[in-house]
Amino acid sequence: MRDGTLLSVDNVSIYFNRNLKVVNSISFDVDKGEIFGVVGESGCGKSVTAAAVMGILPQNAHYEGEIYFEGKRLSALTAEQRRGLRGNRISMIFQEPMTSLNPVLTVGYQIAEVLMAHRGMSKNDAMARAAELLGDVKIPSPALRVRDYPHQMSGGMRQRVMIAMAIACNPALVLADEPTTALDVTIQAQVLRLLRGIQEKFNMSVVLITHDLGLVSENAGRVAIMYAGRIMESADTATLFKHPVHPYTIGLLNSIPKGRHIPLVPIPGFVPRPDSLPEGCKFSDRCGYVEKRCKEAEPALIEIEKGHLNRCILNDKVVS
Amino acid sequence: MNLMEVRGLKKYFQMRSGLLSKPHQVRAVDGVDFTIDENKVFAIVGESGSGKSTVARLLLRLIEPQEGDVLFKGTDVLTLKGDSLKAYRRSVQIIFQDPFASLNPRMKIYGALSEPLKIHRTVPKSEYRERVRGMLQRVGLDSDVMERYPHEFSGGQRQRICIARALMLGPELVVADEPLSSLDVSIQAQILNLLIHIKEDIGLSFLFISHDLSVVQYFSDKIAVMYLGKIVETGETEELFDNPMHPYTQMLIESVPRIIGAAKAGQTPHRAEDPAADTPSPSEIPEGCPFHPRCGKRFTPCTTIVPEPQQRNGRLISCHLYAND
Repeated sequence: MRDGTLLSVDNVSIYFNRNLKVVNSISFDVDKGEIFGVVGESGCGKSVTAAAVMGILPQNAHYEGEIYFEGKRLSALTAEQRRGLRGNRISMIFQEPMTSLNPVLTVGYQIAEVLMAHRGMSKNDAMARAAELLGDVKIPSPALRVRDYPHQMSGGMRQRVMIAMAIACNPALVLADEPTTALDVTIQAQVLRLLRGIQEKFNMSVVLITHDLGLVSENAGRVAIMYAGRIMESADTATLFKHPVHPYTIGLLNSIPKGRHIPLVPIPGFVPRPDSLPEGCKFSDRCGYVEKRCKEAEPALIEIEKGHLNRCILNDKVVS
Repeated sequence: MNLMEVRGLKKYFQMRSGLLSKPHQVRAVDGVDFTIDENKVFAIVGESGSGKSTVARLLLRLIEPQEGDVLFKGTDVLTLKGDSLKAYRRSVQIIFQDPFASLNPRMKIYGALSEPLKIHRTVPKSEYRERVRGMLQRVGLDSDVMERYPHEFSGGQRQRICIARALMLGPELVVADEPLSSLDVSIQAQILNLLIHIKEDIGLSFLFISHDLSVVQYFSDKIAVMYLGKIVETGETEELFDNPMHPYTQMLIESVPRIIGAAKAGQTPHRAEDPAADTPSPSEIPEGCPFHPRCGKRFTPCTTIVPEPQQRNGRLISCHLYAND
């Protein structure tokens, strides 16, 4: 592991019900203080990967391979030690602020709970700190709003509360799983600006999981494109959007309307389910450049330039 | 020629927040005017709570307005009854956002697509199968899907089925309420291209309701921007994107994350707005201009006087910045 690496996901495969493989040996590193984007469509395995890092995979799922955080092998930790990381050194922001806050507790108490659990603060101190955190996430009159219940807040405010909760213990890593998908576009811009400000101030690392290429382009330093439980392409953001090489990445970019007179070129077919993936390259049945050998063996993820990984046998041909 | 004309449309809902509390009014749609031209795509964009879906429901007479006129080819839609209402509903059809919730799970695809024909008796029963097969082909599905149930299909395929159902009676206007929002990026583009082909093929008009500005920019000819029950700006799509005039339209367009391959990686473009400002709830619409608490350009009249829509460079705009005097 390199110096400056905070999180290292090493050859991780995730299985449901023992044998349904939804993530297939993915590897990536997240450096200290960087925003790493993970982009993919529904079912590509991006959220379960975050759940594995957080240690909150459902009962019927398990992972193979190794995840290292601050040099520690997570699988070697006891349940107690993992609990000590969760919400403390690693925290998570979920997509749905409606369903991820407890409706019968005040937002202040829900933030204070994190501090009482990990910092051993008294309830009074924790509540006072919760109010400060609400101020940090730019909620107006925080001293009053700590006593609000989630239903008294708008979606954007609830997501700010989620952020306050996530940063309460000054984590090294925040996993943000579609943090703004449920929000309106103007509120999304506000919430992201806020998250970016906090990330820079505390030099946190963020894994930004999203389906929105624009969001990643504006916020992440490096990005991995996932499809069918695999990383298809990965590079620093500027390279990936300027010189995408994988046909799936190119297909995604061509699927986004860019202006009135630029025709859309959709990817044909539909997103496959993990139990019915094609032979060979998993994108081969939707790919416009498919050849016979694509069906024969799955291509490996290889480095085509420094820091630019690609999983396609047509590396040289498809440079757009 | 204009196909549909909407004037002063209002819909207020009575809401109670608790069992004993006093009912209060939610002004979901508060005086909206627009016209939809023939063979054109008219888009309404807005964020949640702006009233855009309520407008769609009002036009279809799924709910009744408090006030206002809706004219379809010159006929008053709001007074239609019986057979003439049925005829109107043949001409105006709807596609909903969630293709999972808008197909009956117990009905085979053939049943779902032939039901409009049964209700409206436009063709003899012997032709149903042929009609359904032809329509499925048009939306890019094989005819063997007829004997299958909705749960066997992906979201994109279900949305194709919903589009087919909306087209069964040969409508002139299709209201599409967020038809892409529940779909994956790669599938959205497929459905968008399908809608464009259909529009060119059979000469349809669309009322396209969306919160996604890039989709609207691609598909629509004319746009109305809604904010808290009012249209703040209406204009031709290209002009509106090139030169947004209303501060809210400007904020909306600036907020869309764009792919900036050329820019320095990880750099957010500067956007000016108070980060604490939040969209007010439609039950507590601010006095004066509804946008003023979030507006960076507000001045004296904005907090007290509601701006009236005015013509400016072919645009209809409700903002004191563009007042005539």
